Amino acid sequence: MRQLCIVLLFLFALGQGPVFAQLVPPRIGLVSDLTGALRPVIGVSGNFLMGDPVARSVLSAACSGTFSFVKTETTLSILDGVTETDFPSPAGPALFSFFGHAGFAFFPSDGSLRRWDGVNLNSVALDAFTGDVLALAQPDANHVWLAVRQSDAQVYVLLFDGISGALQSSTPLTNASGSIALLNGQEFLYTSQSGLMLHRANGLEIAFSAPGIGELAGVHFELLGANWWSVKASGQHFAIRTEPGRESLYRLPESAPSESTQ
Amino acid sequence: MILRTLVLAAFFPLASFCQIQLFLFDGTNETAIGSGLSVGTAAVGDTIETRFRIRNTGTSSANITTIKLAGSGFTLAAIPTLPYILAPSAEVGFTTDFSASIAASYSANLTINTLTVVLRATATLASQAANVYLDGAATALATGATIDFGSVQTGSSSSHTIKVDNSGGAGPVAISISGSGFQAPAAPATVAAGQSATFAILFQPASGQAFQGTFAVAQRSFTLKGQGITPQAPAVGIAVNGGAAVTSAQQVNITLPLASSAQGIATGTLTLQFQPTATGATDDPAILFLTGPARSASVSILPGDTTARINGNPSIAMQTGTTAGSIVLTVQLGSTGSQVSVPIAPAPISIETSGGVVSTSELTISLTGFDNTHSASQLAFTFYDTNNNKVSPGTINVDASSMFRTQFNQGAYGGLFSLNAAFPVTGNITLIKTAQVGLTNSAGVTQTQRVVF
Repeated sequence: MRQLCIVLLFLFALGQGPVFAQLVPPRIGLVSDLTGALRPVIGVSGNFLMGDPVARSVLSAACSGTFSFVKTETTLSILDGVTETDFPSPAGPALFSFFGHAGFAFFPSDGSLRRWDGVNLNSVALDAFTGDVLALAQPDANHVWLAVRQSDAQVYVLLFDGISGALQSSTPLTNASGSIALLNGQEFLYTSQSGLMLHRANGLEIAFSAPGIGELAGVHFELLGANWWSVKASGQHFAIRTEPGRESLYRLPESAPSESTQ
Repeated sequence: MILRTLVLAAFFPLASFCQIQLFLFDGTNETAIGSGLSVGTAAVGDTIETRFRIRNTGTSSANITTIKLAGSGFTLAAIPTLPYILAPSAEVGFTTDFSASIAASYSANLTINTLTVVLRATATLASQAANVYLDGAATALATGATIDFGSVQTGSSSSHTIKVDNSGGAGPVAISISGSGFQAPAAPATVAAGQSATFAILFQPASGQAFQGTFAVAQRSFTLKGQGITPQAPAVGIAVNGGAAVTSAQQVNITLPLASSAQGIATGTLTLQFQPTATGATDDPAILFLTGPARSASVSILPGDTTARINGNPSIAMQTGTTAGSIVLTVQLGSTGSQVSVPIAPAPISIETSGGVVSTSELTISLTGFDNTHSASQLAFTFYDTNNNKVSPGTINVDASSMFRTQFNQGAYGGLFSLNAAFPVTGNITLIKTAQVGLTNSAGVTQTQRVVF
């Protein structure tokens, strides 16, 4: 092994060759704020800065850390790096999921599902099912989980083939109540009388609290970045970190950096 | 037997003393008077007292040489010694009384220097008015009597019980209350002939000043009087994070405990300032209140509060940023206030996430975190093979001072950074499995966890 050589071209002393190091502000992702403006979120746990809006009148948004879905009234936009691709879409909000550069968008207004493969957005003809779709997640680029609350109030996770739309399995989700965000087929954020909860696959239930958090109503989850979820409730805006072992809840600032020193 | 009038009027004619103006004064407010003024109606034998103010609205002094009243039923009272020099914007007061023994209409000329105002009043038969009793007294109140509510703290109230007895009346009598701070929610609009009504008049001052109003029964008026008092707000403290130490990248609660239970209403502000000690830093925009405006909040107390309300809530969350220094919190509440300085100590670099990516010929290490000293300098990269042996050439030391300084001197992100470092590799790159990074700043050295490729 000693014959391996890491060439000392790690050039912090730039100008002698190609750039091999870069320092930038840490960007967590994008989030729609309480006013419907889409803002970048910069920072680390416990220290957030909200950037200037990059879009407004946003009904739903989600950011994987790699790319983002942004839904306005009749348009679905996909932001990937500096590229924005817009598609006409059903009215109203939407639900999203991600895996790498692939993702799904579900439109509750007409029950349709569309798959983004990184290049094209295609409709997926889902097998029939009953119930209200609460959340989406993906095990891979070609499958999608739908968390569905059915008439018995039980929530099921339905696994669909993301290309053919075939229903492949249905699994009850234990303890799921209130609003739900799927992390994967077995783990989810939800709301109960205890507040905001995270259910782990091993059955562990993690309750979140944050400074100044009050009674929460009308909870709305959005994926804000890799291992980060946005939670809007009762006029308050929070960020939940879901990385195993580092689960925590924070408030997102109501003011943007340009306002913060005034 | 005294009735204070609250009659509104127009401007006094400005014939020759153009800088003098006459106002009706109700104890709180001035109302400009025109060429005539009705001071009201009183029962025979009752007195209407009317308060005036002469004000110099000009830019030079005015000499008041004459104040006289000519006419039946009216008399001057409490006039200043003449001549009286009025400086610009200054004022002097005097009063008139009206009282008559015969039911009729009356008028008189009020003259101030060369200015004249016609005062008018009406006297009615005493038996036409309903009797008014205060707090269960057996003797009826005289027309014009003052009902004094005394001194009352803002947020509190006092009351008097009023009985309007119209049992001997020939027709209904109207009841009305006017004047800020006074109300009688249970009072009827009228009391029918042969009936009586008992109700409370409340005085609830909104501020620490004198209040005056009028309680009228038919054409009889009574003066309502009270003094608002703003109680001294109790001493207010500032509690941050429950008293525990505060570090960078925290969200902590701030509460404002009161030294004693609040007795009244008071308002104020809570403000935040940051005094950085980190190298080259002038501020950190991430140090802010997480709700409402970034660095100010409204503060208020209500009677019975033991902690002040911040933006209407019992506490406010604050973010401590990623820059060492002192967060100075200042609360001002009424005439009291306090200040606390929350130290954010310099600390070794904190790493939030670390990751590694391997390509065919390159290793990339990604780190996110913050340096609250803004003094990051040396980076030490060590790579390990599948047997956990260091890979040649051993630890690679890099002086990154300039690069970090450029990042931090932007001033927009405090001590936050995201580092991507790429290493070209010759040989079998798949044999390199992990790496560790040491990061040095003025507070110490931080070693990352092993980055796995």
